[in-house]
Order: sequence, then C-alpha cells, then structure tokens
Amino acid sequence: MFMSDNVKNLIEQLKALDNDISIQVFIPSLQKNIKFKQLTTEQLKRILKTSVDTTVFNTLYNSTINTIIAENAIDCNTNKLTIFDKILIVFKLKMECISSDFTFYFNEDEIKQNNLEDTFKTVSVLEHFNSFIEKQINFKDEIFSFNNCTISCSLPTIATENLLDVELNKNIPAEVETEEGLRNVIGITFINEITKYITSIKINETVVDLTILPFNDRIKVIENLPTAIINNVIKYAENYKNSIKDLVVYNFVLDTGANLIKDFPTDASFFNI
Amino acid sequence: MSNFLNEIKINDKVVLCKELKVKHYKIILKCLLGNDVILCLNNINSILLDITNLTNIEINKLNFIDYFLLLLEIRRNNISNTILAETIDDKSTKITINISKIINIIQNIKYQHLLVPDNVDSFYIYYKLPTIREISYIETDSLETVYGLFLKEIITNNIKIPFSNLKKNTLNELFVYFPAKLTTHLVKRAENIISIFNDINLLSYIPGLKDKHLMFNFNINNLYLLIKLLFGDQLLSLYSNIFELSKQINMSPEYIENCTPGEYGIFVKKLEALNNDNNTQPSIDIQPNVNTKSTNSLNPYTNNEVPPINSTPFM
Repeated sequence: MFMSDNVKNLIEQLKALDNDISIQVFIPSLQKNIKFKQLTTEQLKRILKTSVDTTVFNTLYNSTINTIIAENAIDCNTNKLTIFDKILIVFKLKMECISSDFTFYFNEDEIKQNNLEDTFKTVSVLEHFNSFIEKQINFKDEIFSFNNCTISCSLPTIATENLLDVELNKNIPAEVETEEGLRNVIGITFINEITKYITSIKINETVVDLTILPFNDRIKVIENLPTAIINNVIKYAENYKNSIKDLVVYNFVLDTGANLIKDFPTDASFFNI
Repeated sequence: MSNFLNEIKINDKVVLCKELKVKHYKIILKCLLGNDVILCLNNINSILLDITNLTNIEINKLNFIDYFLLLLEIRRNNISNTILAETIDDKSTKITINISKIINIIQNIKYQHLLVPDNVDSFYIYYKLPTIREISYIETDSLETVYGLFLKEIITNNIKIPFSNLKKNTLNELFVYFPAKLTTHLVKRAENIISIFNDINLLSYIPGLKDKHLMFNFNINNLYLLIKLLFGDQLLSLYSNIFELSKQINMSPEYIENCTPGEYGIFVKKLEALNNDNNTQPSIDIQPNVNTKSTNSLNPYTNNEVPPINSTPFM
C-alpha cells in the first residue's frame, strides 16, 4: 500500500515536473524564447522506434518529432514554427535531455583515406550549437516575380512539412523497380520539396495558397510555373540549406590539416543513448 | 558430526555458518538435476537459512556477489578446495578449479565505486547490485528490467521510491514518466556496471586457458553453471554409497546424512580401502564424491546435458 501510494505520488510529481524543468529555446521566427518540457522516456522510445522506418524521407521520424515538439511546447502553437526553428529545438532537446555530446562513427573508407586511428570520435554538440547561435542567422520571406506571376517564398512551417510529407508518402510507391518509376519519384519529391517553400502564387489578380491544394493539383501548378521563378525558389531553398550547414554538419580538422566533414543524423540515431 | 561454526566474511558482515551436511547436499544435487533455477534457489536459500545465522529476509537481500561468496566458502569448507572439471570442446582439457582463487577474484571486485550515488536534476539516485533472484527474473527484451536491476532507490522532492520490490509493470510505468535525461543517465550507469562484470572471468588465474571463460556477470545461465560446478556430484552415487556404508559397516543412514560431505567422502574412501584389503571387489556403485570421476566433468549429470565451460557476456 505504502509502495503503491509512493509510486502514484512520484508519477504525479513527474508529471508536474514537466513545467518545472523546462528547456528554453530561442525561436528565430518568433524572435523570442519558448519553453519546452523535457523529453520523457516514453517520447524518447517513440523517437528511437522510428529507426525502423525504411522510407527514404524519414517520414515517421519527422512526424514523430513534430508531434513531440507540439506536445512539449509550453504556450506556443508549433504549427507556425519553421523548419529552421525545428532544427534548433531538436538540437536543444538532444543536448538537454540526452547528452550534450555526440559520437560520430567513421566508415572503413573514411578511416583508410584519412589514416584515422580511431573508429569514432565524440564531439561537443553544445559548443558546436553555441557557435552557430552566435551567428544569429535568420531567414526572411522573399517575393519573386516574372512577368505577371509573383510567388511568395518562406521557410516551410512544421504544419506544411507534416501535411506535404504525409501526402508525399501516400503518392509514391513503397518500392520502385523501374528506371522510369525512379525518375517519377525523384520528380515528385523535387516538386514537393519546392512546394514547401512557396507560400502562395499570384497570377494577375488570382492568389493561390499552394499548401492547401491537393497533391496532384500542386504538381500541375508547379510544373507550369516559369523556369525563372522555379530557379529562384531553388536558390532560396539552397540558400537556407547552406546557411544551416554550419549547424547540421561537423568539420573534423585532421592532424594532416585536411577536413573530414560529417553530417549530424537527421533521423532517430541523433537521439541514440 | 559436529556443531562446528565457520565465520564467513562477506562484503559488509561476518556470517556464522554451521557445516553443510550430506542431507543438505542431497537436496542441492536433486535440484541441480534439472534446469529450474528458481526451484534451485528456493532450496539453497532454505539450506542457508538452516545453516547460517542469516534471516530469510537477509538471505533474499544478499547481492549476487555475497551470495556466491557464501556458496564458495561453504563448498570450500565442507567438500574441498578444488573442483576437477573438463572443458567441453574438441580437446576436452581437464582443469582443476581452485575455489580459493575464485574467492580472491570475487573479493577483489571493487564494486563499491560503481555504486556511488549521484543525481540528475532533482533526482537523487542510489544504486545496488542485484540479488541472484533478481538476475533470474531479467527479461533482456525489457530494458526497464535490465536497467532497473541496479536501482536501489530514487529520491525526489521528499518522495523515496525503493526499487527492490517493484513489480515489472510498475517499473515499466515509472520509466515511462521518467525524464529521458534521467533514463539516459541510468542506462549509462547500468551499462558501465554490466561492462565491468562482462570482463570478469573466474578462470583468468589459470595460465594458458585464455579462450576458456567462466563469466561472473548478470547472465543467470553463467551463474547457474557456477552453482552446478560447485556442487557437481552424482546423486545416484551418493545414494549407493549411503546404502553400502549402511550395509557393510552398519553406519546408520541418519548418521551419514548428518556428516559433512567431506566426512562422508572419508568414510567412503575408508570403505573402499577396507574392501581392497579384504581382497574384495568394492561395490561397483561406490564412488567417493570427492575428487573422483564424479567431479571430473563440468557436467556431473548426463552426457547429453553438458554445459559449456565458455560462458557468455550479458547483453
């Protein structure tokens, strides 16, 4: 009886801890700090379970992380947060709730080519993250026009990412066996990726919100956009990806002076214990 | 038959121990005939209750190191200091296991520093080594039961949660609510303890036996193998010898059963010598239980039931 009451009490206290022990993350899109509850073991398990996801796009991992961010945010509608905000939140959750270090493992080629003595190296994510934050990188929306067509670009929100990834997953076959099938999948994925960055398209006086269009309609619209406009969107997306490179990759400066660049994982393995 | 008392030093106390008797030994050999670990532990605990000054609660709380120190000392004091064993491989190497050396190895495990309490935020964590019964309950597919194994108690905000008696379901439920940071910390601490014990090979003192292992870790199969090695005689020989001692020199079975296995071995040898002097063939069943054929194998039971000498790491 005593034990049972104690366990119940502890569980109640653990629940209460959610608000007591929180993590502050600076959210660039809101230009303010937002509090997040700590990850629970159950949430960590959910994340780690997504490692069985074999889809190319890590859909299960993405949707799980997005759900957990929504569950843990205190006084914040996470649907409106951007994918840049999300990366910062994920890094913070990893550092505060799992470990401020990360261990990179080198494959045989990397070891051979660089004469490495160790098969792995542990780095401080905290230092890496802080040096990135000091740069105070932020992204602004942009508008591109070509003739009578104007498009608004912004970083995709978590809601957009959720919606489009789910649709993308529905619309591509689980297994691609032919070359033509592969080309088709790459095309669809490319269009989906571009679409994420386009908020709306204005042609003459007609404004279309791309994020709410059905998947196939969206593909048709994008396919018919002028190449000049598409190129601008691609550049916008590339610009974003280049800017966050300093965060999502780690540059090992070797004894020889050469660099060995490793990506931080964008799947459940980032949260490995 | 005497009321001699031994003092056995385990990690935090001295246990007074009466001699193990043949009747106890018979019980142990009976349980070791099968592979029911729990049945075996129940019976051994009942014998420990009978021959030591420990209470039932104290016996059940002994961590597995203390438990084995007790069994090893009882084996050494009442049967012999050596076990003749045979490796189960192509070469079938015969080895003599010295119990004193094994006791030294186990006594030299400085585990206290592995159990130093620490904290994660407001959670103050106290660690322990598991009991052998807890090890027997481990389900390796349930990480909570593995990592919970080393938790003595957690104190947070004046609430104390003792982990020793928590059921698996309760343990699982608690872990769900634990902050991931706490669980991550517990996993790391537990893995550290596990990795240190995975390096403990009780045969490491024997030169030239590098590829043979008798691991002293959290794998219940390895620990059960150790118990089988310690008490590895043939039950059938024991019965036969009691019968012959009663028949040929009128020793009462009650008297024999109240001797130590060591004393009993002396009587068997004496009878054997007597039979040889009288130029009489000894009964084919007479097999002294000490340092003879019956203890020459790692598996004293049947040829088909040979446990490997190479035991395995845990996890």
